[in-house]
Amino acid sequence: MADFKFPYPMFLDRRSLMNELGLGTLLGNASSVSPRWDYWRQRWWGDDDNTGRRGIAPNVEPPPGSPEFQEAEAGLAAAQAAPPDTKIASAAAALAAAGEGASTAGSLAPLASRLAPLAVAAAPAVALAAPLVALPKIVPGDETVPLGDDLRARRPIGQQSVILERRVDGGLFGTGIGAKWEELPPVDATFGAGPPGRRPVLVDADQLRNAIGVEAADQLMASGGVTKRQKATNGDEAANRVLSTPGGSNELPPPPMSLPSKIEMRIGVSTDRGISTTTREATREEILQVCPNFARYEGYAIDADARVKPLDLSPQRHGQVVHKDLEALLDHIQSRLEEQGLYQLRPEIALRGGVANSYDRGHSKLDVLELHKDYVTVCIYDFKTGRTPPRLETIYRHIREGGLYANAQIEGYKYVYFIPIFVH
Amino acid sequence: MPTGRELKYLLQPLLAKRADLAFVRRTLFIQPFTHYLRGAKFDILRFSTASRATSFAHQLYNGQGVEDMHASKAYRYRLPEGWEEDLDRSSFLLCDEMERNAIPAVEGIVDYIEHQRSSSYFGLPPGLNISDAPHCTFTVALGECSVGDFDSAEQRLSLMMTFLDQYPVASATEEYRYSPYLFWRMAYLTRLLQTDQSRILPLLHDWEAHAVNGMKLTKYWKPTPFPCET
Repeated sequence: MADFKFPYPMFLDRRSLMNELGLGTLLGNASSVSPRWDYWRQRWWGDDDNTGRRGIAPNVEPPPGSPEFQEAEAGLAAAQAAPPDTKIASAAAALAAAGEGASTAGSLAPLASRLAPLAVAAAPAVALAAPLVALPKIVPGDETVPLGDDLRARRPIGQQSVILERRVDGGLFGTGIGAKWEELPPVDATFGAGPPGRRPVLVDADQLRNAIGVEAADQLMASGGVTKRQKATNGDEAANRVLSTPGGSNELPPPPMSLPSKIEMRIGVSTDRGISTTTREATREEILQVCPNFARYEGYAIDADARVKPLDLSPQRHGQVVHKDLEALLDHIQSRLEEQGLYQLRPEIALRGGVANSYDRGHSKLDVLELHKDYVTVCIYDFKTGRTPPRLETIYRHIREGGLYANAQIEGYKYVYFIPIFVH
Repeated sequence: MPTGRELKYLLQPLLAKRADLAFVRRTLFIQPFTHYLRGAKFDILRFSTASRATSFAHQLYNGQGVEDMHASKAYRYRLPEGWEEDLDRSSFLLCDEMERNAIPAVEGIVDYIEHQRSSSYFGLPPGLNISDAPHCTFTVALGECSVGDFDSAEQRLSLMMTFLDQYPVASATEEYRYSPYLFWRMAYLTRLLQTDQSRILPLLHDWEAHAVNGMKLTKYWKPTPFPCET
């Protein structure tokens, strides 16, 4: 896992595709030194990255008879009239024309999507092996592995961890086409070695039981749909594990997060002041760009964990003592950290509707809440002394509360991050 | 973490000595109160046996049924670890801190004018203007309403709400009157200021009653007219 590298072109694609999920933000928009008014400057065009809305490309097809339509039709006719071996090239030419200049791009882009299937259908099968430049840009999809009728494992492109999903409807006329899938609570899962779509799914059995219920999880494991990750520590399984991926490290427990690595962890991101939240995988380096105190808190947490470990407490008590240590420490150094680039640091804060120290029913307790002095970034840290990742509901709730609290203090805190800190 | 009952036990000498103080749940406050609830609130720490007390001055007519703890520079006191080992000493120290520091810090904040004089409890982030801080803007606008300066309050809030575009003023209908979310109450007040200022003072009285009821402190509350009504 530590040797894992992003497939570079895919990562670039993902960066542009996933921008609205906050990756663009993670990669530098929320500089810790950006002046407050950057926010105002950014919002006018930051909210408006849709070419259709900006008028660069129309969202509707040109009307029949218009010069743009006729131009495209002529291109299509030429493509169909040409000998088979030149059809792909003609389609490419039409598509290339569609890509030239803002004026033609806008007019031909809608027709290009109609041209491409026709051109492909007319071409001999061998022509399909032609370079992809002749076709509309193909966006690699997520890899999915079915786990029975209503469950599947999905690995988003460019990521290593796997998301389990449950089908919530039957799709079009019950055929499964266009079915909706909802994400299950986070389960630590990865794909083993195998052909795409048929890879074994390696999961943490306990987390799977929590996510889909004991009976369903055991049934799934018994049927071979998924494989318990713990098994891999024994005998043949261990050998299989080594063979499954280069380095055989895919199924090993993650190394301490204090080590520099490309390991991803699931974080919560909101780019609209906590109103809507999404989760994504982020590397340690990405996290440090937006929430630089992550390393500091992580160090504190690891130290506290090391101090408590010799006491050999129950896992629950262990977690309590570590949290207590950290809370006392952060309370002690609060003012010092506030002098070092934070507008406000609030350890162990209770929030309800964005109101601090509110213990009404439904309040949220945040381990650490940071309001940065750039007046756009809020970082919420959650210490995890166990192996269970934070629940999605918790991530969403904490981000919402943190966003409300921060924006009541100073208007403009647009980016809210939820960062788990795993002590193990 | 001390429970409410344990805190009450620790504060008993102070409560016996000062009839103008009351302790309900985890809040020590001055009674009777009118437009401002002032005192110190003890928070709940999940993992520690101690507790922190923070002074506060809560403008009741903002419709928020929870004490206002936005002031980041308020007076704070942390009960020492191991407080339960010597209850008499812990009680003495706590009562002393409350009487000498926590309560005097907010005792004088009885209305909007006095509130303005206590900058630490105004919720204004250091180095920033009121117009940068929505919560502070709301506090000032409500204060201006309480003294009858509706136009100033309307201008202040209208400007702020243009930036809080997720909470459109036009959408702030009656259903948001008691919204637990600050921004929706701000939008509601702005709408009322823009459309019918004669309903502002009744609204403020209503919000005050709503907040007091929400905190279950009705018997300690003394409803009084606002400065502009006298």
